[in-house]
Amino acid sequence: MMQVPARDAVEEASAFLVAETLSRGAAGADVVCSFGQGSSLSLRDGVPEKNTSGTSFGIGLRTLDREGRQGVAHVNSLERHHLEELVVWSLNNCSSSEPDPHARLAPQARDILPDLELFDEAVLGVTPEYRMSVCREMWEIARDADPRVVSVRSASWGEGSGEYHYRSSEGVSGCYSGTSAGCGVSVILSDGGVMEMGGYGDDSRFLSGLDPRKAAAEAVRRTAMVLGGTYLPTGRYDLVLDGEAAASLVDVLGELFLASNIHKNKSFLMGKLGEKVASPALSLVDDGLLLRGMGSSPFDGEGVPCSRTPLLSNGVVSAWLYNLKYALLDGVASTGNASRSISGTPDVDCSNLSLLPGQWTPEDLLLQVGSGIYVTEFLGLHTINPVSGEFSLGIKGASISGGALGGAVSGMTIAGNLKDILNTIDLVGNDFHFYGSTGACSLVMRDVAAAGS
Amino acid sequence: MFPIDLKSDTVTRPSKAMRLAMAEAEVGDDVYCEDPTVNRLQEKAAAMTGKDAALFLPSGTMGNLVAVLTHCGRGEGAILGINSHIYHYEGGGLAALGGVFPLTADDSSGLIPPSEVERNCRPVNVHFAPAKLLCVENTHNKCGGLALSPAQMKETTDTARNNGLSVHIDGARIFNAATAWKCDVREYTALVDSIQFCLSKGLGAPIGSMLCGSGEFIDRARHWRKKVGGGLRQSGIIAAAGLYALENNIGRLADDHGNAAMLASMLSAGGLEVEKNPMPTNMVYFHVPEKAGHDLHERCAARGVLFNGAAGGRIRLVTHIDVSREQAARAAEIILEEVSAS
Repeated sequence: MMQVPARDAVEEASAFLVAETLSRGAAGADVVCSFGQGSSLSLRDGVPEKNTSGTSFGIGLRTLDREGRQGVAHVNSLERHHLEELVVWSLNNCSSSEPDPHARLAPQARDILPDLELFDEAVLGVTPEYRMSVCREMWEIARDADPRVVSVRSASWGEGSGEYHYRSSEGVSGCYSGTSAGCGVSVILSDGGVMEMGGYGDDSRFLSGLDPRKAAAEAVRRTAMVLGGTYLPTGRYDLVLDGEAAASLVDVLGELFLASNIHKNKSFLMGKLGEKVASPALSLVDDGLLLRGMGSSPFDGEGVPCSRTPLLSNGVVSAWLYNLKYALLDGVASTGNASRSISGTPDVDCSNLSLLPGQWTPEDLLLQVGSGIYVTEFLGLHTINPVSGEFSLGIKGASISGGALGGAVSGMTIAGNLKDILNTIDLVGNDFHFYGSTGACSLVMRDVAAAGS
Repeated sequence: MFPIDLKSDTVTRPSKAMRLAMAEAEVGDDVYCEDPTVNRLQEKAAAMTGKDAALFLPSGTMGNLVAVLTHCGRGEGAILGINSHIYHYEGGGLAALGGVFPLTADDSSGLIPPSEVERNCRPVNVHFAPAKLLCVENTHNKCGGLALSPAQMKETTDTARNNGLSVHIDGARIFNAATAWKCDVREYTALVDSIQFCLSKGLGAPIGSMLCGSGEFIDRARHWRKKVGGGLRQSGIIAAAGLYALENNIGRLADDHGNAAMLASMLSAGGLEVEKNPMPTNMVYFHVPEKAGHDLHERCAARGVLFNGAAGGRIRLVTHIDVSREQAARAAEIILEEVSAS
């Protein structure tokens, strides 16, 4: 396997790129360099289907001229002649781009980089035998969990590590490394000629943060819950969203708080800063400094220190997420939410976005709703119109009757406007969990129009 | 499931384990201080409240009465919240039996503010009944079961002490307050000279209250207890229930608070006006329109949900050890159905 490039060599290369670019007339430049390596294994019905190991390396150079033109190029080598080519490509791209008067580099930060506990040595010690044993165990648990399991379509495991460097002509430089591991199971259940496919997965920075047995059992439990689902009568229902369904909704909400989307009129929250747009039960926070967070990093793609930003506080819009460009446009400081690849200019994105937990257990939510629909999956979330808020989504889950779960529900659609829905979420659970970099808990939506039979 | 009795946390019935403890209690004559179970209960109550001694009494009303009579002489004043249980619901015993003069103070926030203590500490003058005692209530019944934190109480109790007053807590539900604030009861009792707490409310015992204070105070209180007819003989049988309650039923008070929160949440979601307070415990107060309210308790009782009739459109529900989460949810559903049907 490819060796991790020496940190000295990366720093020397990035210093060379910045200096060389400036010497050729650029007004500014920054370099991002990433290295990653990982391995994964996937079993299909207990038989290895995919067994991969790979590495990736890239170094990207962005140059800026005095009019704000930006050029980006990248190579996958630290060889000096490749770096010299990179400078030429980046400058050429810069000269041919449109000026952006708001393109900026971050001033030198004085903060010492915090240790966010992103690296777990134990991840590096994972062996092929360990991967196989975990996958086999997940396969066996899923296979035996329910007699209706006809296929364990995949029982998979993967882990990896990476390192990220940043340097700019403004004197900002930094480096951090991290690890991640993930496991997941997908299954097919069949009952009376009806089939259902579903699954569950989890990931973590630390090996100890994963529970493959639980993931396997959860995959079967979730799939069994919706197996043979039928319509309920068309009507208005109270919905209880489980944590994963809520997380998928929170992901959609996060997009509405990106300053880039606000400025492009791609969010119905435009102009709503300081206004109440949701129920007091709803509070959202983006936290790039969350310990062990999957979306955490000490600094963002522009070298700006990451931060914790409350976005929605008891239903009131309290902030947008910024990179340098949009912060300059709004006359505020960047929140450290620049997203950046080695081959692109900075954009804005969430880091670890969380719906803050409430006081209720999931069982409490069912009891309080009494009758309604328990939703475990939304279909077509990408079709939500971020400008109008209108949506029409498929749902899967189970009926709720007498405060308890009933028969499976599928094939129903809910329709309405997200602006209204945000005000009908009046109960939030205490079952907080991260699904990737999105944290969420069960919640209750009231009086939602649902089409069924 | 039914009946679901939300009238009060005084309606609890002893569990089998508690009854067993009562049946097996070692007893003696407590008027001679020879009941070993009562003595153990008193030692435990004193230890839990950080006081030197404790006294077992048949009721919370007698506990408060004996405390006031021990702190105050005839013609002396006790500062009482105008909404307090002692002032409202204890038969005026402090005046009738002790000649103690009630000096009323504004406690509409749930706490008597320091300014109200100062106002009642008037200069020595033949026209004035001298204030000798401040009584505070926590949790505060008429204020929705509000729990005050030790920090919130401190300025008021410090003001009283700086004016030479003794301080007594009517802490009938002090363990609910401590549970709500996740603190030790001793943080409250460190602020005061005496405390009365009930074994027969949220703690689930059938009878009994404890009065805790200094050794000298409890010696005098024991004398008052006898004078008001509260000296009991083989009371270890009921003290055993109290001991069981202190050992087993405090940790679960958070469940009652959660059930009350659920009741409040569901009634509110159903459109009823539910009173909010900053730190609720096991009580829910809500309001209903007059047309729905006058016989609402009777209609709900017919369906197995019991609570007292509305007073001025205001209805109280109290959760306790004999109400489960499912029962709380069902009770809310029935109340909402009956309100909407009226």
